[in-house]
Amino acid sequence: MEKNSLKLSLNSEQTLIAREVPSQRVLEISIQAPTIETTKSRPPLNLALVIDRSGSMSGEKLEYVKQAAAFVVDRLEENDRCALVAYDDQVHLLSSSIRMTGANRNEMKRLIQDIRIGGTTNLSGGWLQGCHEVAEAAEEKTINRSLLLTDGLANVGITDLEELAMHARELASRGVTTSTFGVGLGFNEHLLEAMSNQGRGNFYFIETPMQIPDIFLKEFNELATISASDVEIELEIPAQVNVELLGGWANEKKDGKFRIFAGNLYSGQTQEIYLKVLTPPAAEKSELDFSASVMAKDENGKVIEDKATWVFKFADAESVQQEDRKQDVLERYASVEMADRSTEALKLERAGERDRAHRLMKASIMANRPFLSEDKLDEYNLLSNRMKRGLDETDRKTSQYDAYREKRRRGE
Amino acid sequence: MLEKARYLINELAKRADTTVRTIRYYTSEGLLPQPDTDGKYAYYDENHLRRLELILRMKEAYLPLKEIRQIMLSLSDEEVKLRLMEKTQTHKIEYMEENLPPIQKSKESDALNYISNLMETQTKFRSNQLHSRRPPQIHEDLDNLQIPLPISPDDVENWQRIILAPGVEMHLRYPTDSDTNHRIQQLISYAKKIFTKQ
Repeated sequence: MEKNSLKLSLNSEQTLIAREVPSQRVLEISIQAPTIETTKSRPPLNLALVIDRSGSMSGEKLEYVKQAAAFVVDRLEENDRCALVAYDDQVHLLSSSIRMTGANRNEMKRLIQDIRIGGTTNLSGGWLQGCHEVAEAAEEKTINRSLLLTDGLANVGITDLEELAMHARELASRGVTTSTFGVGLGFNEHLLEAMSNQGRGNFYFIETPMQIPDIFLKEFNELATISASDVEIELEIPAQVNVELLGGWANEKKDGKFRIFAGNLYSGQTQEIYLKVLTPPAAEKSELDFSASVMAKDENGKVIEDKATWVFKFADAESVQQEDRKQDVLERYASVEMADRSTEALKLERAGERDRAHRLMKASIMANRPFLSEDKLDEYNLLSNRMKRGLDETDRKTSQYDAYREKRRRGE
Repeated sequence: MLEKARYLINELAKRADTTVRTIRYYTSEGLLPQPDTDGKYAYYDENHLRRLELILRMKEAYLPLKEIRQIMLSLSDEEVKLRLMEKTQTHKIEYMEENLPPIQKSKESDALNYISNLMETQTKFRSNQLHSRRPPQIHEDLDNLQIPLPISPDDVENWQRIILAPGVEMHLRYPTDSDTNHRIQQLISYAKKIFTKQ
């Protein structure tokens, strides 16, 4: 197989499963994006910058946002398009999607500079306007994304997390993805994570305004080096098998097939996705096959794909017991599972259910103890204890962001 | 006069083009009032059918459960009937105005359609219903009395004070089913009559 193509591989900690009783196994899906020469031309970008200009953004925050937005605009080229939306309780379409020619880039930067502080936060309105601009300008080969930045809570327009996440999902399936940027401590981290997960984009927690330009640049660099876009994994689930997807990935189940939407991958990136699998007793079978395929578009819009299969063999209890288990797989899985549970616990803690949050953490730590490093164990134990007392906003935001990156396997 | 139509849950599902599971879910979530039972079977009537149809329409407009519940609890059976009729008309008009043959839509125009539909239908539905996200208030204006609706699905017991006349108050526990709501409206109009009698 070519070195530079899209690669899919499956793995598990064991190859054997019990004949008489259900077995729990990890299914690790690894996707490797092709490596491309990023100095060559990249797919045109079609972006919308959606900027919160509500009252709380005044001062440093807005200044840094303007700086960051200008940074991104400076890196766009003639074939790229950009739209600018600022929102408070009203939505202000400062510029519809325009080509980033030299003159337009200057105009865009001027508009960015002129953004003024306003009132309350119509997050949904601003975001949908941005998506609208992107949708209107979208073409075959463009990478279409809405970049939503906020420092606060959505308090006007659609405010319900489930609803916004659903719209993000629907729009992503229609070609418009969303990345979210939360600045400071006042935004709803679970809302922004959900919107970016379902929107098949990225979430960023920006603790101090100073970090804004770097983070925007990070997103931009990823967008500019995408070698596999719209990555979709289709997994065939054998009958009677129970499957649980970890990590918050957008997905859908249809006719025994599981489709996982992994978003975009940049040149050379490897993405791992984990499933917890429960296999049934053997009945008449000797093995259980999981076949998967991955499909994406390369930088020229051409479809690229790969396939892989994982085979579990049924065996008697003793053989299953004797088989060596792959520690590395279990360790990687444990870190993602732990991160998933932490997110759940954080949601509980935020809702005031400190005891439940604490108990969930303790149970998860116990279950994953053999596979986590000492450092991580300490970290999680500390978090668990702090949850019992109640976290402060910094704790909540940083813990959620840590868990998010752990789930995505973006250790930085 | 014909006996009122009664449906078992599976008949209701068929007529509304949905599933038994969905109906049970909506009932448990407080969107649909409980059915009547004769001890053995649960019977749904035309009102249930109409309410169910309206709920399904709102679901198509991507309204969240919370909001649909709020709307459904605020509507009398008559109002549900009216709503259903006006929505059908709007659909008809829209179709005629557009007059487009079905075309192969690209993904991106789908996104545009999605967003336009979302903005449009949400505004339509939202402008027609009351916004009661405020804590329970004392209502003095009996003509425009709108019984506040539960804000969360897990609302335990909430009580609303309704002033019928100076020095005369009614306490209402909510969430209530539409039947009770109905009777409350009647009670209030009757009370009004008595207390404003010259």
